[in-house]
Amino acid sequence: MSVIDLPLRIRRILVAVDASAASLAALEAAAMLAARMDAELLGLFVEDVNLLRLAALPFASEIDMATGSARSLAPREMEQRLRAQATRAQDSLAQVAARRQLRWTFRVARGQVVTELLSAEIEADLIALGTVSTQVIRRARVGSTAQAVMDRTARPLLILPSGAAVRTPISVVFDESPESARAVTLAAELTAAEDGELVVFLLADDAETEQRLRETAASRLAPLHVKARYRWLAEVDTATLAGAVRDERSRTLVLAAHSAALDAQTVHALLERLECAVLLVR
Amino acid sequence: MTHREPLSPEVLYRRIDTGPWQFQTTADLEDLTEMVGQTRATEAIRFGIGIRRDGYNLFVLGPPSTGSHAIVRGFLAEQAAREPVPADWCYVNNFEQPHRPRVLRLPAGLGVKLRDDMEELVEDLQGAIPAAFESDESRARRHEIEQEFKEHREKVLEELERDAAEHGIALIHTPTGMAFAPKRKNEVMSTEEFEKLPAEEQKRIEELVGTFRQRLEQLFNQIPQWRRENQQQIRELDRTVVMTAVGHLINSLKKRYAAYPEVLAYLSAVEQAVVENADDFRQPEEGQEMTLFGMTIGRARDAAALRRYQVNVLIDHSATEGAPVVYVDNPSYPELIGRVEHLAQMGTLVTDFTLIKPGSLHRANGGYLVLDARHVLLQPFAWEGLKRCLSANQVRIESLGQMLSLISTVSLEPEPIPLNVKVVLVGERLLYYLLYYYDPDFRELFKVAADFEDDMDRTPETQLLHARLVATLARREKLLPFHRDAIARVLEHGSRLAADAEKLSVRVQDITDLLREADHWARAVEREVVQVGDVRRAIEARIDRADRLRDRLQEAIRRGTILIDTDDIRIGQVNGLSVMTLGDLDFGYPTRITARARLGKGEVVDIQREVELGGPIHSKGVLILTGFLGARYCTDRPLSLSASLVFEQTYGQVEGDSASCAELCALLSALADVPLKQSLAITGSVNQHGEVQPIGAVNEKIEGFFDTCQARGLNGGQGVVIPAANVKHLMLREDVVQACRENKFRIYPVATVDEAMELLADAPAGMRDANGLFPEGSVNRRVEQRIVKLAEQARAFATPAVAEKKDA
Repeated sequence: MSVIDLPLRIRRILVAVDASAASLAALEAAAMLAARMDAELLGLFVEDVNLLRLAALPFASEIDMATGSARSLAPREMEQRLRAQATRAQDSLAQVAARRQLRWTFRVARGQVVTELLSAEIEADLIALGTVSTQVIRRARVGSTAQAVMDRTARPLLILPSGAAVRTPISVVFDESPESARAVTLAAELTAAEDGELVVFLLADDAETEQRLRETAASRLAPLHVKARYRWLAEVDTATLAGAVRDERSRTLVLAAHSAALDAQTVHALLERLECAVLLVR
Repeated sequence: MTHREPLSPEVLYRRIDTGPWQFQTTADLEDLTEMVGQTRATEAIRFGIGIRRDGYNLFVLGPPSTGSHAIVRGFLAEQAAREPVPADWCYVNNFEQPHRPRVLRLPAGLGVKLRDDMEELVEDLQGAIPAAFESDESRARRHEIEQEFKEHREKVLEELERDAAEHGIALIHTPTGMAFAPKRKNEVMSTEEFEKLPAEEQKRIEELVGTFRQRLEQLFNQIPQWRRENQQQIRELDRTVVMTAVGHLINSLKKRYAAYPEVLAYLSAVEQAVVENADDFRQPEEGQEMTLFGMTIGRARDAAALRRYQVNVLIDHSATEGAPVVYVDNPSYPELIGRVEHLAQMGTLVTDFTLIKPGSLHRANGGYLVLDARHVLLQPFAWEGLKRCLSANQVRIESLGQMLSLISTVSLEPEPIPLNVKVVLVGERLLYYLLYYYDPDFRELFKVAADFEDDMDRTPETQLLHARLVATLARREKLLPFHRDAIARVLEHGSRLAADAEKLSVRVQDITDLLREADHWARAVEREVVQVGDVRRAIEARIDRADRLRDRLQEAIRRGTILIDTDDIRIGQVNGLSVMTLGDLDFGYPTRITARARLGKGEVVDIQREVELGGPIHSKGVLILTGFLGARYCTDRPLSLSASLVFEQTYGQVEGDSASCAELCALLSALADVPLKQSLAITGSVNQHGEVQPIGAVNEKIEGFFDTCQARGLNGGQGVVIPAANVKHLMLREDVVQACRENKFRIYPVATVDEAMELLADAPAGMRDANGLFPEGSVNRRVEQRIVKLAEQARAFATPAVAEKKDA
C-alpha cells in the first residue's frame, strides 16, 4: 500500500485561460489552491488553430451571436481577436495572482487546444479547466475540450462550471482504492483550510465493508483534525451520487478519476449532472 | 319764565324692587332651562337645525358675549344625540389611475376593520406568495418550461451540427459566434489542403457551408421568438400559481364584505393587482438597503409597492355616538377641506392616497359644523372653499397650491366625498349684513338667520328670570351663592350696561365677568354669600383698573390746564359734554364750547370742520343751527351774520351731534349778549325747530361733569341739562344720586332750546305775542334785534357799492 502514503504534492498548477466565465472560475479556483499549497500558476492560452484555419478559408464567415447575422472572417482579424483575448486572459491572471501574491507565468501556444494543453501538463502537478470555453448553445455541460483532457491527462484535474468555486461543504468519494484514499487526504486538507465539515461518501456493497471503509477514512482524517460525516452509498451509479451531492449541498466534490468502483463512463455522466467544482484525483 | 324743577333722585337710578322676591340667595333659585330674552333667536335656531334641505345653513347673529356660541352648541348637542351615527369614509388606491384615489363609504366602525383586514391580507400574501413560488411543484414546473426552451434550442442546433458533420462540415465556436468549416480528421481543413481539392469539390464545399450558414442564421432569428413564447409560458404559470395562492385569501374577505358592492369591486381590483405584481410580495424584508452618498434611502420601491394595498381611514366613527358636532377654532382652507400631504424623498415631494388627511367638513359630515364667521373670512380662500363644498354638496380635496398653480409637484385628485352637513356660522351682525348684500351665494347657502338680542325689557317677570340667570351662571361657574340684594345690584348694573333704565342687558359674558369678580371679592373677605357690597366693589374696581386716562383728564381740568368754569357766568361760552371710549370703559368729561358772532354772509362757521377735525354728523348739527336761526329770527331778510363755533382745547376728532344744543346756546348767548351760567353743563342735539333730541351715554356725561364739580367742591348750584327723552335712560352712579338727594347737584330735563336757555341764562326765553313780537327783555327778543341790526348793517354796506357802480 505504498501508493496510498504518497502525499499529493502540488507545486505548479496549469490553468487554461481564455477569458470565458468558466475559465475565470477555473482561474480563481486554481489561484485559491495555489495560495493554499504555495504553488505557482502556469497560465496557458491556446490560439486555436482551427479558428485560424477557418478564417483563412476563402468563404469564411461566422454568424454573430449578438446580432444573429452573418459576417465574413479574415485571418488578420481572427489573429487580432485571438491576441486581444490572450491579453485579456493574461490581465485576468495577473490580477488574480497579484491579489493572492502568487508566482505566475503566462504562455501563449498555437495549435489544437487539447494537444497543447496535454503537452503543457508535463510541467504541472494539476490542471484547472472551465467546463466549456464559450457559453454556446450546447446540450452537454462539459465541453469537448474538457472531456478530451479528462480522458487523456495523467494529472489531477479540477473542472469548474462558470460560477462555481472550490468551497465548503466539500464531499469526497471513498472506495478503498489508493487513488480515492489520496482524494480523501486532499479533500481533508481543503476542508481544514476552510474550517468546514467534510462529507465522505463510502462506496460499499455491504455493511461490513462500509464499517471498514469508515474506519480507514477516519484514521486518515484523524491527524488533520477534520470534522467529518459519513454517508454510505450502496448503489454506485450516476444518479445516486449526483443525488447525494445535491442533498449535501456540496460545493466541491473530490473523487478519484479511476478507481475500482467508478468507471470513466460514470464519472463523465456525473460531471454532466453536477453544478459544483469537481476535483479528479489520480 | 317758569321755574324749572330738577329731577327727583328716584328717577336718576331705578332700583330693583326685591319686595316680591320669595328667595334669599341664588341657592334658592332653579336653573334656567332656556335662554332669557332670546325667543326669536332660539326659535330660528330650532328651525334651522330641524329643517334638512339644501341651503338651510344657519347664521347666528350677535356678539359672542350674548352667549350665542354656548346656546348654539347646546342645541346642536341635544339634536345630534338623537341622530344616527354617519358613515365611515376611506380612501383606497385606484389601481388603474393611481393619482385619483377611490373613496369607500362604510357603516360606522367598518372602516377600521377593513383597514386591519387589508393589513392582514398583505401580511398573509407576503407569506403565501413566496411560499407558492418556492413550492417544489411550481419550481419543478418552471424548471421544466425553461428546460423545454433550452432543449428545443439545443436539439435544433445539434441536428444542424450533426447534419453538417455528415457532410464533413464542422460547426465551430468562434470567440464571438459560430461558423462552419470543412473538416478533415477532426481538424479544420487548412487553406492549402482546401486549395489542393478539385475545383468542383471546392465549389461543393463552399455551397454546403453557405447552406448551413443560412440555416444557422434562420435558426438564430427564431430564437428570440422562442424565448418570448417561453417567457410567456412562465408568466402564465406564475399567474396561475399566484391566483391559487391569493384567491382563497381574497375570497374570504369578499365573503365578509359581501353586502358592500364598492368594497367587492375594490377587492377584485386588489386581486388583479396582486396577481400582476406578485413580485412585490417576493422581496425579502431584509433586502439590501439603497444608499446614495452614504445616506440610506430605504427600500422605497418595496414599501411604496405594498402601500398601495393599504386603506386610509379618513373618518372613523367607531367610537362616535350620534351625529358629530364639530367646532373649528382655526378654519383655514386645508383645515376645512382637508389636504394631501407630501413626503420629501431625495429632494422631491411625493405623495399617495395614504397621505390624504381629512378636513373639518369630513369630520362633520352627517352632522354639524360650527364656525366663527370672522375667522372663516379672515383665512385666505376658506370662505370660497366652504361655499363651493356647500353648493356642490361634496368635498373635493384640492390644495391651494394646485388651485392657484403655485406649486407643481406630484399631486392627487381624490374622488370627492358627498357632503351632508349643516354649517352654523356665528358672527357679528355687521358681517351678516355685509355678506348678505355683497355675496350673492350667501343668501342661497345661509337661509336661516338667528338674531340674538343685546338686551330685554325690564319687568317684574323678566327681573325674576334674570335673577335665575344669575343663579344658573353662578352655579355653572362654581361661584358662591349671591344674596338677593347682590342680585338686584347685578341686575341694576345690567340696566346700566344696556344704557337704559327700562331694559336689562342679556350679554351673558359681561354678567358672568361681574359675577366672577364679585365672587372674588367676597372670598377675599371670607364671606359665604356674595353681598351687595361685593358686587359694588367689583364694579368700582373694574372702573378703577381702567380709568387712568379719565383721572388724567379730570386732573388736567382741576389744575386748570384744561379751562373749564364751574361757576360764574360768561357770554358766548357753555359747558358741553363729551364721551370717550377706551377699551371697555366709557367716560364723560366737560368741554368748553365758545361762539363769536359778527356781520357776515349768513353762515355759521364750524371751526372743527374747517380744520377737518369734525365728523359729518357734527357738521350736520352745526348746519341745523343756521337753519334754526334763519327760520326763527330772520324769515324776511337775509341772514347777515358770521358766527364761529369751536370746541376749545380739543386736539382730536369730534363726532356726533350731541353738543348741538350746547353750541346753539353758546351762539344765542353771543348774539343776545346774554351771559350763561357756567355751573351747568348741557348735552343734547337740536333740530331746526329748536326741539331737543336724545343723545347716547347720558349717564357717563352727567358723571363726567359731576366728577369735575366734585373735585372743586360742590357749590349747590351745579348740575346738568339733559334732553327730556333721555330721562328713561338714567342709571347714575350712587354718589351722583346721593348729591342730588342732598340738593348739591341737579339734573334738569329740557324739551326745547328755549327751556335750556332759560336755565342757562336765568332769563325768560320769550314767545312771540299776537303781533309776532318777542317780549321786551327776553333772550329771543335780544337775539332777533341783533340779527335785524346785522341785516341793516349789511344793507348799508351793500347800497354805496351799487351807487358807485351806477356812477361808473
